[in-house]
Amino acid sequence: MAAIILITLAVLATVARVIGLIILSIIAGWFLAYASIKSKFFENIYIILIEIFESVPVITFFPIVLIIFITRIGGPLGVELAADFLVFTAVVWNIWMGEYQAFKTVPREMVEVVENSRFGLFAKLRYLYIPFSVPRITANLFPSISDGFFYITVSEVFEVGVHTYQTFGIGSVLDTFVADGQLFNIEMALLIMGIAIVAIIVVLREFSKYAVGRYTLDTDAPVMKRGRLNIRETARVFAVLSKNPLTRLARYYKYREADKHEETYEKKEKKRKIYKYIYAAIGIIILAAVLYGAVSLITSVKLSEWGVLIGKTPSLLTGLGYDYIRVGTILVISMAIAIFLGYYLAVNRRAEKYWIPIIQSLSAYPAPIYFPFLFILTEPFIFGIFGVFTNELYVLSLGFISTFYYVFYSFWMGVKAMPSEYWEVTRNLKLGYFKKMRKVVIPSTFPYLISGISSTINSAWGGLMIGEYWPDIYGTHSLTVHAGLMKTIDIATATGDIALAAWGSLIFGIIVAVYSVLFTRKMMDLAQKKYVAEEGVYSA
Amino acid sequence: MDVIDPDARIADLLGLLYVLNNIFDGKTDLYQLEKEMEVDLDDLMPIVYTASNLGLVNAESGDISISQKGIEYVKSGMNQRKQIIRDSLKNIEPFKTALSMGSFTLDDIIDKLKENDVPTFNNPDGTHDLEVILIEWGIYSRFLRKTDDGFEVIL
Amino acid sequence: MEAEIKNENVSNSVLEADGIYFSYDNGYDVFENINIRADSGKFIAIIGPSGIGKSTLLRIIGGFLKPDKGIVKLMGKTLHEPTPEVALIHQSIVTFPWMDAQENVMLSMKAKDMSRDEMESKAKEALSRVGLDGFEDLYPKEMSGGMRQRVAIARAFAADPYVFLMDEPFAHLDELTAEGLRQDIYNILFSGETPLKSVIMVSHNLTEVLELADEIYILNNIPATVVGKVEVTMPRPRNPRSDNFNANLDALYSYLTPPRKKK
Repeated sequence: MAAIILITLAVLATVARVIGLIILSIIAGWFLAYASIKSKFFENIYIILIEIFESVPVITFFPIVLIIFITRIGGPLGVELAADFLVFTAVVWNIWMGEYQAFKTVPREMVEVVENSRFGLFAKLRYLYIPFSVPRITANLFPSISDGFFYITVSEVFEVGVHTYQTFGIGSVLDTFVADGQLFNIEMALLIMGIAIVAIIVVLREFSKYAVGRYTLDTDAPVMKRGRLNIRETARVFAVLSKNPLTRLARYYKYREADKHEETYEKKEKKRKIYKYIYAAIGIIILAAVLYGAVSLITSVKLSEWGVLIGKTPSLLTGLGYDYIRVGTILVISMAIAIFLGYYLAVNRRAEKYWIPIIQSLSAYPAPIYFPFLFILTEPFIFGIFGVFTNELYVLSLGFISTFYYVFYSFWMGVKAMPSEYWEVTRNLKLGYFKKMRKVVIPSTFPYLISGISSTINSAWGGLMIGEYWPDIYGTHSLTVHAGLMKTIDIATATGDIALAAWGSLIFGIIVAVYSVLFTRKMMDLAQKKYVAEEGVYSA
Repeated sequence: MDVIDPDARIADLLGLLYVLNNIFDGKTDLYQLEKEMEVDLDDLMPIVYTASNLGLVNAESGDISISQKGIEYVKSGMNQRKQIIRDSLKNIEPFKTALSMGSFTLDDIIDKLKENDVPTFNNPDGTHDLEVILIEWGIYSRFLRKTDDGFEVIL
Repeated sequence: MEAEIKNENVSNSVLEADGIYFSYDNGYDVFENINIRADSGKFIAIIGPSGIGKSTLLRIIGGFLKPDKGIVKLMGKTLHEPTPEVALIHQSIVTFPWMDAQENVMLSMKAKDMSRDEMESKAKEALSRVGLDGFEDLYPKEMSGGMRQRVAIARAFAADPYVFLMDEPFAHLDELTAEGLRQDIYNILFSGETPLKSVIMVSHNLTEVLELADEIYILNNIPATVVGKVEVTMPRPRNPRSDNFNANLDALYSYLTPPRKKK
């Protein structure tokens, strides 16, 4: 009984940590988003930073974060803050991007109404910007919740050298149970965690319905008639749509919209320059803090150590190459399944009704928590078939179950958001299944797919980070691959070789950021230019 | 069946009566009205049927003329106009059914209208259409009042 | 203070745009020396070809944009920034879906120093002026477009404006609905129980303008200037099929087309 109370408290602590940090990100995001619509300078820095951090898996910063929180702050508070930081960086980017996009797309007419009434900053936020951002935040909450829970096993317990740090939560409690082999308690912990996650998903779905009914504009997808907005028809379309609020929410999911509301006929306001300087200053401070962190870290490393690090760089890069192959494999498998399953669910209402909540709950259930038990159950069997590739297969599976959801969810949202006219065209032309997929469905969901792919790649790295080196996954069994950058970083962290861990993270961060800027952004731009399906249907 | 068309709006009513009275001297062919106003059937007919059911115009054989009640409507102030609509709604669905029910929720009146063989709102958009009509005509003319979970007749 | 009142008595001017010059950031000149004056009791219309900058001019008049040169005066005082005393009514209907009708209307008073009770009673009054008594608790999504437009007008009214700026307020509506709303809104605007003194409307619908306006300013050329001003003296209600109406229409078009070339 005492164990169950302990488990319940631990689950509550973890849930409170994740939810609390999500709320914190939402609140902070409002102010940052407001600052970025007020200052072009701040906006540029802010968006670049979000895009970089969003594409670099947070867990790779973890060694650096650990040093800062444990050496500078120390004690239980330092450990707690380190865990919080990891969860925070997992949930925040989606939400901040969503809020920024919302603020950026507030109709100018609405802004003029509040300006006309002479609203101050807080009144503007309260009556206009914050309510307007609710649908977008809601659409981004599902993936953020999943992201947040994903890292609890690694954030609540971690080892650096001979020290083990832990903070209270289901991750650390479960770790003790596993170490002591308390099977019943492990099962109870998994069950209670499951109940909590299902409850969160149910509440979130209800909130989505409310948010769609209350906070969306009828003019988001106006029905035009002879060039005029037909409010009557638009309102009717939405009244019908809102019976399935997640469909409506699909329009607010995270793919980036071009700045539609850029100054059409107004000139940039010259007055209130002072605010611009303030926002610009905040931007510079953030940039300086990031640079300072980097520089102070670099200068703290001794010259001789640099020699060692640079000597190890080629092998780190080879490891990264292996990891890219793994990520690519995970991505291809996830996409293939996501596209067929996502399509099937999007067009089969009955199946969708049951499967979507199940998939949402599964995705929020952190894979690293239940993965060891899958491992125990299947390992002897799998080993019999795959022999030396067994570990590789498990690492790929962990990557898959931790990422599949993102590309699936994005694609499914994209199919839901497809204009009904496209469906009619495919039926009219009697397109076969694969032709329909290739010519219509995949191109028109392209922007959604791209954003799903970038999240998937991101979490695949997280999965590899956990899976490539997992000592004592059960009993004395360890899960490890023969080579990989993630493994190197993991081992360096565990043995206390912080310099190597940080150097590995840095190389990784730079390459992933460059890749993201060159590839993801390009694809995003292409998606916007060519594949915005909503613009393909135009009623003159 | 006398019913308020789901697409009929108060503003359209005033527009129609005003145009008939001031531009066409009270009487014209419907096709002339369509041309002059640059409207199409979808815009025009819902309010023509509704105004006719309310007794504000006479429409038959492709002609339309404003009735005495219609002229009175155009010349009145806002409160008087609301009074005219309120009095005219009593025998027209969905308000006839509403009157018999006194107070009701949207689902209640949908069911009751089905029982009374009023097919107009028996479709996927029906609930939304009915709500808009009850508000547009009923609440505007002070025939109905909004309650926490539905509507109430306040005649 | 006294001088101001005296001045007002002489000119009767409510809102005045004086020598307005404006250009975009890229150097494109939009307006050159535009003068527009709205006197008390007058309905002013501004027309011009599409792309001439009518909506921009309205935003300069409302203080939303700063002109490069020239000033805007409200009741003799220079206008520097948007104020509830000059209320902008948009082409697209602007209501806030997360607030009911009464909260929507109260929005225009939030920045004022008023108690909640005061705001509520004022909002009720404004709603009832536009015919929406009983609509207080309804959300915009439950209303038709015409009713939402009334909510937007009630919101503007609740702040006791002197001037209404209307940016093609009927452009999105079908002609029948627009005609009904025009008549309704005209009556509401000039019901005489409010501080409202004048209306400035931009439109590209010449018939609409001739039905409503007392004075019409015509913008043309690049950069735009006022090329003509027509005073409409026809009695109301005005019949678009009458000869007099057509003569006025003809006069408006003569300003919008190039002058006849001499042979």
